[in-house]
Amino acid sequence: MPADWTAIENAIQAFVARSASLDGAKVIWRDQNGQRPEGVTFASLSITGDLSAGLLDEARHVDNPDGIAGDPLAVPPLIGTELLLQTVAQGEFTLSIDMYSKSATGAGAARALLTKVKNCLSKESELQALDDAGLAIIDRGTVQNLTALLETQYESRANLDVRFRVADGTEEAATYIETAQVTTTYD
Amino acid sequence: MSLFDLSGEVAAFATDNLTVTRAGAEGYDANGRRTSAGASSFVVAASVQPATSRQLQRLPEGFRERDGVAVFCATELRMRDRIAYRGVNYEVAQVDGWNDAGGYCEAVAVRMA
Repeated sequence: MPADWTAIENAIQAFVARSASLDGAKVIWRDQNGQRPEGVTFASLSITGDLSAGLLDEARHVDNPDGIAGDPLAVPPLIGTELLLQTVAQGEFTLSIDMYSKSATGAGAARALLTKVKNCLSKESELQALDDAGLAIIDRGTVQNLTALLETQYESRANLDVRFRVADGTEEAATYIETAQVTTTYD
Repeated sequence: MSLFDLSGEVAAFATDNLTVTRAGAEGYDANGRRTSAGASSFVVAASVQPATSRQLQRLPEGFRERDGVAVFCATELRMRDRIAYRGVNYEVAQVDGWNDAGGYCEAVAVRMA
């Protein structure tokens, strides 16, 4: 079954906003050709490095996907879509979180905010929220202080790369074999 | 109040009526996705001339190799405004806004990729 990337992105973004105590509009997805959010503290997110986790796809089929679970024949199947073929594989991706702040020190510094986000990756409630979106954390990464000059003033910046695993796959409707041709002698 | 008002001169030398499209206010929703209010369009009378090599040289990298035009008009233009000029779309990449002091605006727009 294909991963629901909108739900995955929303779950990740909500997690970062909660963990860093930022308004949702201050935790944005990168590369949208927009301006920086208003205010001085914000985070940007990016998903990179989508790859297969190296495990074989699992293939399975569902009889009469339009039927009722446990009693597939209670509703007659639609002709031509009697079967649903599914493949499922584990994928792995890296979530890159960049935090920006004007505070160089204290709890408001980008490094401190991102450390808070990293620590929240251990909270049971947050793990459950991410699990509900089909995500499993496999590496919490390292917070790096990347404070740099922005025009004439220092801007507190930090980065954290978190690796996730997610189940992803494909679906296609199929039908039963209705006719077969034999072109050789069958004993 | 303008130190000098050249809006009349700019209008007198107008070569084209340009349709300018301006993006609406931008922001981000609660899910961190970009939002944009609907774009608005208006027509301005402008003098359109080839951008000089010096004007193009002042543009950021990536814009210098594109066709550019210099636009003089009485209406204030803004960065990223889109201009339809003789069937080709241009984007404003540089603005010298003399509207307050001189009653006109000079902008350089480059052909959109």
